[in-house]
Amino acid sequence: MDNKNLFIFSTNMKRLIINFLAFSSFTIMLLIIVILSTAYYGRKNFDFSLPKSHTKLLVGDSHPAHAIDPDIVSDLTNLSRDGDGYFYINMKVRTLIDANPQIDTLILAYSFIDVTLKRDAWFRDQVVLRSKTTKRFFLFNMQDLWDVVKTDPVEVLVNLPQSIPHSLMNPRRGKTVLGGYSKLTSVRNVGEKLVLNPLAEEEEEKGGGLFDEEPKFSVDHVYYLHEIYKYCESKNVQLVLLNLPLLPYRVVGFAPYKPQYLKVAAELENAILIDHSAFYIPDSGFADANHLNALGSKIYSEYLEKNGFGN
Amino acid sequence: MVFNSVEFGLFFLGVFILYWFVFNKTAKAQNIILLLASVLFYVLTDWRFISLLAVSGIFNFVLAKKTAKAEDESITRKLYFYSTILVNIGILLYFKYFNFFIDSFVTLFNYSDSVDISFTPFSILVPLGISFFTFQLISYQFDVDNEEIEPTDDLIGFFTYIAYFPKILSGPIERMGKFLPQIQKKREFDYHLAVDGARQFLWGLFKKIVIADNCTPVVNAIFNDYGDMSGSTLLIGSFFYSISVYADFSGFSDMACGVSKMFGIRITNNFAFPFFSTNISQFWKKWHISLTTWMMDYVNTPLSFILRRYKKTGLIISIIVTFLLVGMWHGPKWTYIVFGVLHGLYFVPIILGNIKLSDGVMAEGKMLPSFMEIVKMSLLFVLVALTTIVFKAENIGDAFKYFKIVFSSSIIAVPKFPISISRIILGLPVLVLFEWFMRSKEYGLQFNNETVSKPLRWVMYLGIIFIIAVYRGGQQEFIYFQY
Repeated sequence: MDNKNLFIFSTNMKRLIINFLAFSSFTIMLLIIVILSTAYYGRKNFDFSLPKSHTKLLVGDSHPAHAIDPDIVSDLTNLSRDGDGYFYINMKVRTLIDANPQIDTLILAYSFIDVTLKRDAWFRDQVVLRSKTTKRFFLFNMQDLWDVVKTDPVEVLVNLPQSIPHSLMNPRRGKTVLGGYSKLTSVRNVGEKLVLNPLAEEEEEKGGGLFDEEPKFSVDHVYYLHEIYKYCESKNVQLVLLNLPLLPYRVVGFAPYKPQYLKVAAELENAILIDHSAFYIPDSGFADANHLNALGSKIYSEYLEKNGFGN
Repeated sequence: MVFNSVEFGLFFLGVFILYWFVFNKTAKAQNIILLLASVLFYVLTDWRFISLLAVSGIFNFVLAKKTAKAEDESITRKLYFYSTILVNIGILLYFKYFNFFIDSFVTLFNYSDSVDISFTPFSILVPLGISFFTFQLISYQFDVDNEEIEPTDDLIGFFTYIAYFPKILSGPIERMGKFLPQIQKKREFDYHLAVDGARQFLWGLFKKIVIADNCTPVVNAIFNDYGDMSGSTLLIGSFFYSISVYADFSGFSDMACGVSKMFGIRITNNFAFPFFSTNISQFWKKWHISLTTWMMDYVNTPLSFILRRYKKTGLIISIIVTFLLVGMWHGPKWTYIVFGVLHGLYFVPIILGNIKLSDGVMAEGKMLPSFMEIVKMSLLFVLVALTTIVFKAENIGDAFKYFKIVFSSSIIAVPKFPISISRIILGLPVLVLFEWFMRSKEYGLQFNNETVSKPLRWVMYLGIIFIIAVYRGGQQEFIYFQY
């Protein structure tokens, strides 16, 4: 028999394997180089500088993004962003404090449910991994990369090339990439909602799917809260944990998680804990069950300005 | 398990190694590994109906032999043949159309009579790939009865034909006469065929991941809230949907053909650049080719023969019935039926006007199409896109409402899309350019190795891989899995 026809050592099969390995190795290497070099380009050319007078940096999720108007509260930059978990906040804080030595206070918005297991989805969920990892890759260090790869290697590695256009475009897009104040104009219509769907309202009062009925506590979210704290300590930046105004039934709904949150916060010895969850905002100041609208934001921001946040 | 998943990559690698390195001594051994892999593939995708596939297969295997053994034109032969066809159609009707027929009957009854009957649909799960494998079995019975092929004694080969994993979920509807001869002889590893397969897979991946998966969210957002959109947005939404269906289904078909070529087996190319057509007849010769040829061979040709005495009327009836069935093949919805009938109606002017149509490759031998060809292609594309509104709509009422907005004064408004279309805009020119320049080939990346140098080919593959990696959309289910 002709040896060339014995498949295991056939010349054709060998040729295919060699070509395939050569081509795929070259492609993977090239992709890695492009991903890393564009991330480097994005970071190098991004303007992280904040106004010299801004000594306070506010970060958090959608709640502070809609709640605190930096045009009212002086010397404050609001770079909060919807669905930003502490993992992504951590890298944002690191980079911004490094680039802006004038920052002496980091205000980290919180709510008691930040210690629930559901919050870990803001780090582990596939959609979040795909979206936030690609958009924020230019802020990653090797440890961050390793942390997300460990979480879901396939999802992260397969989607990482999508960071290329983001890394290239982010310097042009500017700080909106990191977050910012966003004014909501809608008004929560309590009466209509109650009439149309009383069950939904009842469900919402229980927490609206924000947490499990049986308390389960976060691992990742709390870990990165500690990381943020450690970083602030190392840079002599005061960490302020700020719980923002909520609807009264939300205050009641989130109460079961308060002891656990306080326990976690107590470990952050030098952090200042402020709880404004019961701060009165009329119903017309809420855009929905969780977020302040322009009116609510104005009332609350003015209160902050008068009471110390604005120097 | 879908082709564009890591799981499939590992599955394929395992089967490839076993097929070419372990079970490579005889055709039978190769078929056994392909059959085992196909069963595993089906079970991993949805294990619940593997028994249906097995029972249906054995029934057809046995009955085809009995049909062939019976004397020509004898009652026994007819009994075997028609009972097999009826059972196959019965299975399909039960799983796919039972609720639809009962529901339509009840609606009709309630409409024509003042009695109010209510009907709660049965909870019937539709087996994966049922339309594809049932149509294959029916074609096998027809071909045996017509003595175009001999019934096979090779049970493993027969089941490999039915369950072959590259085509079980979304076709093509392969013919036994083309498939079996290929697997009856031992397959030798063919480097060029394997490379061709890998390239075709890559092109299919591009179409699915970059074009279809980026179009689908935009299309869904437009169709879900069509009442709030302008006519221009809705019209472009229908264009995107047509492109999305094409990229999704032809992308899957390219991947299926590509995988199969890597095992040394050629299966039918289901698409031949259908949007590079200037008339509806040409379009259907290039769109879902295996279904169209099936319908032409087993429905249209016999029906137009029966109706030949009615001349053009007979031809029109047979073409409309054929396309009605093409529409209905997609599933138990009136929208699919209307879609099919509309396509049938598009043939009427051609039949009535005795118009001679060209079937070949568009602008063959030329770099670019003529102005008239561009006009005809564009017109055909719009006509096809309009029918996809019906195809995609939840019901006929929704389709009419959609049309009403499309043909309102807002058709001249600047379109506003609910989701960014930047990735579609980036991907589409690549799709159109590659497919246009490769329109005489099987797929968009089928370069001629003699005219395109290896470094240039590698640069192009690399470019396509980069586009896939960077601009991939969120994974969407294959549209044709539901059929």
